[in-house]
Amino acid sequence: MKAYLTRRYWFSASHRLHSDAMSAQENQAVYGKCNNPYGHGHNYVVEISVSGPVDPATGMIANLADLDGFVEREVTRRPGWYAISSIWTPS
Amino acid sequence: MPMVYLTRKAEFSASHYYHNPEFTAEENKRIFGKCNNPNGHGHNYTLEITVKGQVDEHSGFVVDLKQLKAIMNREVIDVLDHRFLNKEVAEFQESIPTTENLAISIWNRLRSKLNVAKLHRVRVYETPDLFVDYYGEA
Repeated sequence: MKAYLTRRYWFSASHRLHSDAMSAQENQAVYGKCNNPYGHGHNYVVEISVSGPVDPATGMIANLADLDGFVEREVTRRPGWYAISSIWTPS
Repeated sequence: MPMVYLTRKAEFSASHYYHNPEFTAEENKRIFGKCNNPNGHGHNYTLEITVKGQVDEHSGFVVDLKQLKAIMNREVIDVLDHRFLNKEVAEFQESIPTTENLAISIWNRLRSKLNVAKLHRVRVYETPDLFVDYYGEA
């Protein structure tokens, strides 16, 4: 039987909205205060939904510990995402 | 006639643990972790029941909310609230009371009891950050 499981993850990051294809004035007009060269931060929430048959042996679509590890590795703590500064994973 | 979706929320608290007697003790521990503790642990669950149907032109309702509440209370909340799911709810003698199986169980308990509006979705929150949706799909 197919079900859908959703897990919410939290992370904080900084960013700046800026396009090199536009002049400084155009960037300012389009992005406003989000164009501040020093950036600004948000607390983001991402909802990851997976679907699939419920395994009769475990009663699960996906093992939550595996899903948490996967999302942490691939998204919330992905190497190279320099701006990502912290994460809180619900237990 | 316009089709609308109506969602009603309810809450219940229950305890459970995860264990498959066909697994060894080590496998149960590895797969289910701390949820394998046989003394159980509890959650405050939130349930969302969504029904769909056409708005009755006389009442302006998809479904009588009082009736829907009474059915949810009788068929689901009275059965699950303040229960040890593994020990006190029939279907969890045979299956593990995960959030997935809870959603399917609640669907099966409600489906045949609704006649005017059609059951569309059962959503069960185990915590505010974890929920399962079931639409009756095979």
